[in-house]
Amino acid sequence: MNLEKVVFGFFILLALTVNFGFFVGDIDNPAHHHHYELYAALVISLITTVLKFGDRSQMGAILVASSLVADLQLIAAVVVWGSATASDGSISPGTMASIVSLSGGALVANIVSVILLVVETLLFRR
Amino acid sequence: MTSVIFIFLRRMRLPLIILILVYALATLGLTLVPGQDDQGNLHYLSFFHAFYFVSFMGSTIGFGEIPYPFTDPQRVWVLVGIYTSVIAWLYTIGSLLTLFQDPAFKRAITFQGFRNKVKRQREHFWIICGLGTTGHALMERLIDNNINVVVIDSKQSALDALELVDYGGSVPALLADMTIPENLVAAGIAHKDCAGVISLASDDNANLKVAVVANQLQDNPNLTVICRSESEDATRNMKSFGTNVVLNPFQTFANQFGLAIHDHQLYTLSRWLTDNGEKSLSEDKAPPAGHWIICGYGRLGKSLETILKKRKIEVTVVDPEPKSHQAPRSCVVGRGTEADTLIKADLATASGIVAATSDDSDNLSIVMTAKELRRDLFTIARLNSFSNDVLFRAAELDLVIRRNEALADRILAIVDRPLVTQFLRLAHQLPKKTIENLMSSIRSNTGGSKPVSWRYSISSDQTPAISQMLAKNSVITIRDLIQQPNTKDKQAIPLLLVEDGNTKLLPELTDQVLPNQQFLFCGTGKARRNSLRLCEDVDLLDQILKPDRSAIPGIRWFFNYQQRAKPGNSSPESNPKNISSNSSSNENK
Repeated sequence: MNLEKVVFGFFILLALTVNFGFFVGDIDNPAHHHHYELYAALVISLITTVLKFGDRSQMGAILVASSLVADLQLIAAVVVWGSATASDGSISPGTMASIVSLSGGALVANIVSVILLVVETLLFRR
Repeated sequence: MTSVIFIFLRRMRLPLIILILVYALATLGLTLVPGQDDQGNLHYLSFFHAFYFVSFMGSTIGFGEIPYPFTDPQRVWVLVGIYTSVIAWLYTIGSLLTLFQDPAFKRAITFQGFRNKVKRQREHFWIICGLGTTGHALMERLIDNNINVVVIDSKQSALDALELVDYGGSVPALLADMTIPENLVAAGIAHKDCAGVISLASDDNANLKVAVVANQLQDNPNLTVICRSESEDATRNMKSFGTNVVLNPFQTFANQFGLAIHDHQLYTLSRWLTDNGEKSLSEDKAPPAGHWIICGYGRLGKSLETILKKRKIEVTVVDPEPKSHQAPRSCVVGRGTEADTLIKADLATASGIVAATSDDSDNLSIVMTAKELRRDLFTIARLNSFSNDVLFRAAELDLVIRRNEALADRILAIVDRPLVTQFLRLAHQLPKKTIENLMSSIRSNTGGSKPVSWRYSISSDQTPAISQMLAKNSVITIRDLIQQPNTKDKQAIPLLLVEDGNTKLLPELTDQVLPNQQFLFCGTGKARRNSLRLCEDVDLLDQILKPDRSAIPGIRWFFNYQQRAKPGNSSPESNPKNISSNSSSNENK
């Protein structure tokens, strides 16, 4: 067992699970989606991206790319949230729907990254 | 670029993760710690405000507490945040600086820079592997002749010279092992403008490896591979890998020397056309054909003996260890630095002596001893280390063997002047009288300075003007290519004509110029400039072909236009016929 591999797998899975936690619930109901969850999803996704840096293989390149996609979508969701609450602090169902759908996109990217990780693990032979 | 980025990202992984974590925790904490607004109500910072505050706190800029003054619990958290974020930044910047100091990273950056420089080459270039004395001499010659070079050597000291001397524009240089294929690829061996590879390492094995790589990796069938080899074995091996030219520095010199003894006229002519050194037309003293003494039976001694014996010239070898050097039986044992050894070797009847040992002081001593005994002796000494050049010059020898320079001159001729090489190879056939005449006409043509030679390939991309005129049915003779209107300059001398592999030495001025021919001329630098102008200048060429017309471009154009407009004179059907009849009549001549 290799501690580096544990950390790597942990963060990739965590990025997916936290992202999923934010995503589930009615798409336009602000009560179902907590902003701390979105924040956690973004931070973990950023850390996952940095962890994936520096692998020259084809698999490594796709992993970094999927992480960058997730980052981009989560940052977009955070920006939408921030600008919507800047004036009066409340959030409309329409805005909530667009934030959650953006995080849904990031969720797909995270799923791809986990599938790649699993495939790589299965292909790995000693 | 990619490898540099990958090294960068890999090394910066931990600092970046720490930075993200510290920022994330500080921001999160600020949103959780209760604060107060200006009315004293409970107020939590939004993520936006918290991130804004952490950003200027972490970089120690500090704009103040926004949007309301902080409460004490908030300030406690900010204290924690300040120290952790400053430490995280220091660690990140520290790792960044260490990374830039790292030798592996530096090497990756210079390798990348070198590779990009080579990739950006838009003109033909040659790769020189091994920048020893020969490589250096060759590089200077190529740059002097406006040929681009790329250099690889594994010793920093060899490349240092590149930074000390200004070569007008930069020479891409790589500090790396030339036997590793990746380095040769980076140097552009697969680049479409790579004209060839010249491998000049002092180690035959390294040269052989370069030859193998060049043979395996090249995409370009016209790539020329030139290798230096000091043994028969390596030479054969290199040839088997498709190396175009294999040169042995000792044999190169010995061949030249053989030519100098056998046919001094041709030797002098070849020096005029290929030597890069002095600018005036000098004639060396001709080495006499009588009995020769060779001191030192190493590789040079052996090569010289073979050549001299081939020319039926009597040779006596002097060597201190005849057995281990496999010297002939008649060998006189001794170093040759003592008078009695030389006398034993028949110095009294000798006409020349070669000091060919690998020790410079021995060589000087041999030659000086011999000169004391016989003033009229033709003396030749081998110079091994360039630092002794001054001594050898002061000794007033008849010839100094600088094998590195001889090799560099030979490669320059192959690389830059293929037609000159071809001309000199064929010039053996010419009668002595013709060569004498040619030499005196060169001497009077250039007024005592060294001639320059240049090449003309008649093709639509190299000589557009001439091809255009030929397509229009104009008859152009060699005289037209080298004669200039309105100048009193001496015209150039045509040396060689090449057409479809057939060659003609010293073509007549009245010979007709046809497409796909190549010409070699020699003359003054001015004549070359004038002549090369014709390649692209249609008006100038027109002026030469029709000297009776006015020199004013507008009027000339009008007459040309009028002639073209005349019916029957140049109807499209008659064009191809004329060309074919012209060419066939020329062939019959």
